[in-house]
Amino acid sequence: MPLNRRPPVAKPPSPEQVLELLERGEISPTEAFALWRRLDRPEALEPAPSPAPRVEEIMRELDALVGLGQVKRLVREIQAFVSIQARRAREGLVSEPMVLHMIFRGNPGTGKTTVARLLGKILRESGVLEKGHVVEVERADLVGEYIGHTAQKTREQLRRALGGILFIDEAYSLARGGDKDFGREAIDTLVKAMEDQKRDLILILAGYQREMSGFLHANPGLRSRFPLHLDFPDYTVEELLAIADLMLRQRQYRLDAEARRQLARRVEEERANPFTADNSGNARLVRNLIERGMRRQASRLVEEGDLTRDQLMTIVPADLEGDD
Amino acid sequence: MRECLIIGKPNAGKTLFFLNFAQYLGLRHLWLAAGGPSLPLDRARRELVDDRPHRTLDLNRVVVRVPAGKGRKSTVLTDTAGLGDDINADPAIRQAMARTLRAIREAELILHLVDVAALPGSVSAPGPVDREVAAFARHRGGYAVLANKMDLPEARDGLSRLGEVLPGEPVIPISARLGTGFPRVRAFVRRWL
Repeated sequence: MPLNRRPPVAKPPSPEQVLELLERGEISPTEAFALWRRLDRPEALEPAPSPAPRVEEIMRELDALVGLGQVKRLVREIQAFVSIQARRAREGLVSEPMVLHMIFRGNPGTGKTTVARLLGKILRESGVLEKGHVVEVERADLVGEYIGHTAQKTREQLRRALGGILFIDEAYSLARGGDKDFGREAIDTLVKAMEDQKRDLILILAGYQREMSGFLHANPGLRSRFPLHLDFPDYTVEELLAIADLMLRQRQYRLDAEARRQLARRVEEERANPFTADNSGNARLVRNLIERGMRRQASRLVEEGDLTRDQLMTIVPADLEGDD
Repeated sequence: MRECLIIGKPNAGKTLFFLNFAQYLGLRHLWLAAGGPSLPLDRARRELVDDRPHRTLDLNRVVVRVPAGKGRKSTVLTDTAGLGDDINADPAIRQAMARTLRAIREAELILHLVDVAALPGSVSAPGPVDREVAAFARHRGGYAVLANKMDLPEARDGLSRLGEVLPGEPVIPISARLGTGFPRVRAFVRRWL
């Protein structure tokens, strides 16, 4: 890959060189911090290869996820928009202020957190977020027990997420207790932070489809502040089996033909059962089945003497049968 | 183990806070970075603390245990040399400041002491270096401003003026001498362990 190097610029001093200047009495502590801050800003870093290859790499990681067609398209759109806005800004054109707060709707285990992590990385590489880390929180992390506690807790989480993404799971639970509930205070603090820190923080509200729609309906102010909505549909049986294959490959296991059929049957059963349907479309079910299969296989094999490499890798129907 | 760093301008009260807060968390003796036998805290207070600036030049560390959940978690509490706004004429003090800066770069948790009772223009009055420290530290893990010397009458005005120097930072008012505000500091530290 050709390195797309910019012409070398005067190398900024390293953090350690700044300290030497301080020790020699050439700069004051005040100036030392100012230099460090300039050093830590991405544009002051070494004349690095253009960030594009990194973004492509992460995009490939995203594409490698099973299913999620609409989500992938939207993430590509966001990335394209971000990079064009940056190019426009370089040309001195008016660049649209980007509001990238998002709503993720879908059942547990449909890839919401995974996509949030990848988005964080993409936005860091594109220079939108300074760090791109994801801070995952839920109601208990935001809502306090007495007046004033909630705003304090919420601000704390906001601060942890600064430069990255604050991912609020089951966000509707903030509106659970009605007007007297401290959840309201958490929402207000979040909204205020969104106005104040448009640039260095992205909020993602996540949760079940139905509950999220109700939550946004009841809080019209929030709706307009979260322009991007991503739906995470349940995985189809075929997609779940593809995920299973991927998981097995990574762990260097495989299913024999009958075990594979059995896994498919099992997933379909869960899907048909109205009591488990909400959780059946998710990768977690598959992972649990496979991890249990790996444990069962181990207890089946541990008593035996000579084992071939093949036996050590293969999961048979008996390993997948029954419940825990 | 995580390190909790106490920083601030000379004479902001860092060492007295270091000793009294460590005592509040249950510590009775400490060993100094310079060596020597263990020192009971009341003697340490007599020997390490007075009202001259730049008394502390070494990074003095103690391990303290903070209640967390059902058990307790250990953290290193570190006292540092004060940071002035300007270039200091004494090479030993400049070296000490460089040590402080190096520690700031690595710390997970920073308690930034400011002297809100200082008269404007005095050596410990909140100034440019406080602003720079805050701008540098606020994005790195835990960071809180402790408005010290609240036991002095001048502190009320000083606290209200602090917003001009450090707008938007979370501030915990304390008195290192009397131990007021320590429960809030402990709660803050605990959250970051």
